Amino acid sequence: MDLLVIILFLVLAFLTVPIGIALFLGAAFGFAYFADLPLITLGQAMFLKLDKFSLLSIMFFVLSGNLMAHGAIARKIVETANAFIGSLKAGLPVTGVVSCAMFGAVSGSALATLAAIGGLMVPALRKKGFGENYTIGLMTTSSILGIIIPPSIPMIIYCLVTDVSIAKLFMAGFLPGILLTILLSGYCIYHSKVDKSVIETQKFSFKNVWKALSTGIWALLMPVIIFGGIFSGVFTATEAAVVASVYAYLVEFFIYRELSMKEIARITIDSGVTIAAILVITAGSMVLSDYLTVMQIPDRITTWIVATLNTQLFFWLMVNILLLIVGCLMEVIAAILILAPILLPAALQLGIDPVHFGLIMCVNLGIGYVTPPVGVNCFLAARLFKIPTVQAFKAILPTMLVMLVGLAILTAFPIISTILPTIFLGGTK
Amino acid sequence: MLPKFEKILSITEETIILVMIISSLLFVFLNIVLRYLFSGGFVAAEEYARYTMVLLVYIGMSQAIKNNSMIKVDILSTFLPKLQLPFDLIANIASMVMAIILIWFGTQFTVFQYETGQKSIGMELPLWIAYGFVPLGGVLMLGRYLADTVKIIKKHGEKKSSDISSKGEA
Repeated sequence: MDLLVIILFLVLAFLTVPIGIALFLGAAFGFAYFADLPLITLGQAMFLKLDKFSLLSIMFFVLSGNLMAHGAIARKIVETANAFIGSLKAGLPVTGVVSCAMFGAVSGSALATLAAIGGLMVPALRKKGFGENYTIGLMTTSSILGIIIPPSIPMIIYCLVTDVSIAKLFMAGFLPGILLTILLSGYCIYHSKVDKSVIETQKFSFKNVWKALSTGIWALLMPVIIFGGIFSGVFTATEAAVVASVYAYLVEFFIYRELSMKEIARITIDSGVTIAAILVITAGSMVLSDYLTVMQIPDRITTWIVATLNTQLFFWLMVNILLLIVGCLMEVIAAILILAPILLPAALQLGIDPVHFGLIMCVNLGIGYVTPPVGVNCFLAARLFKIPTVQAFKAILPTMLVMLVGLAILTAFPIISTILPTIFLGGTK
Repeated sequence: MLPKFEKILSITEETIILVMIISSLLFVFLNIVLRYLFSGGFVAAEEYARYTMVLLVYIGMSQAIKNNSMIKVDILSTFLPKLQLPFDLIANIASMVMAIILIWFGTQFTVFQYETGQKSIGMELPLWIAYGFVPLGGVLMLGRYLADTVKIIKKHGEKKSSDISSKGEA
């Protein structure tokens, strides 16, 4: 009976009630009817759930991501990647994938990555004669790398509710990110062999590389600052986000100087509105998650999972299918906030590594960014590139299959995600 | 009168958002620099950033409602465009329910904090001011959704009357 709350939330969400509000109303209903708590705590919760230092990292990663996406930094990254690999076979599409990976290393959001790199690469690829669906599908899917390669907002959210170390989960994201980059690049090379209509003409020259590096160096220093700071223990993730934002303002304002004061103010205000829209979902999910905890639902589910799916293999099968479905239906942040506390205890009892579990959750829900009906990346792609949403959903199919192969490999070999934190940060626990 | 009020409100909200983001960025950044150069720093900076973030959420939400950029699942209304109006009305009514909950229980908690007279650790800000952000957010939210509801009903009415008049011409 007490799970009626989840159904109420889903019904409201599908009636186009904003997700954060639907979550809050579901939780409020639950507190009023099933839990024995004074409702005044709702007024308190909507303050306390937002009053968290670690949430500031989301705020500032959104801000720095938006500044880089609208300013010159994103373009410098594409130019640098193109100078190195643009001359290879299938050079330009591979440049697109690698640029997404590089932008992923400075931004924590798949949407910012799509707006920044997709916005630059899709017109460039179309000009060279690549097909519309291929181009848009490739860039829309590749932008998922934005949340798998650290920094990553979904990873921060996962760590917020599970007490896993952010530095360790960030470190765990590198190799899986590189693996997916290689798989997507492999798909580009395969595609260029099948579709011979496009001829690459760009030649490799050290002059080009030097030219790109000399102006792009300011953009390339950004990940050095973020990761150097986090992994050496100099800053926390929140402080890294603050430093990244300050750096992005300074570089855009004093070095590249392409944005006017007015544009910078506009980007800042728009980021503020985006942050509010994201954090309302965060607060709503946390209130709902509190309700589930009060009703001891995670314990019940853990007991059930451990009793029924008593091996890791069954657990992974079930979790991957569940998360893919949830990823299709639900907003990623809400899904992590609600499901991580429910699924992780069972995973731990079955001997699964919490860092590996977090990474798989992010990859899985990341794929949810492009799958219908709630594929936010496809909605953005449809708007950016002026195509119907349904066409965007068709366009991502081949690259989504590539991502599913990547997901299967990552699930089967936990060592890909755990090896770096084990070597450099002394373990994953 | 009302459009003018809306304009002033929007400009105020945007200015507050801008000032809050830049100021909390500067305070936290300064705090990091101070900590590494002089191993000093102040608790108030972190607290300021946290409290401004809460206020930012509620003021930013008001803007998000106005720009229609709240994150939502609009798959059903996309495929059933005829049901757009009922969907919008249900969504707005549900959202107003949340606004009223925020105002009602938020105010109760704020009053409770006012009576205990607690202050925050860093800035020594009376806590009732910070908790007051919740009912304030509720008021902004309620106002925005009321305005939006009036707007969509008006728009629907105009569309209907223009449909009728075009039928009349045919």
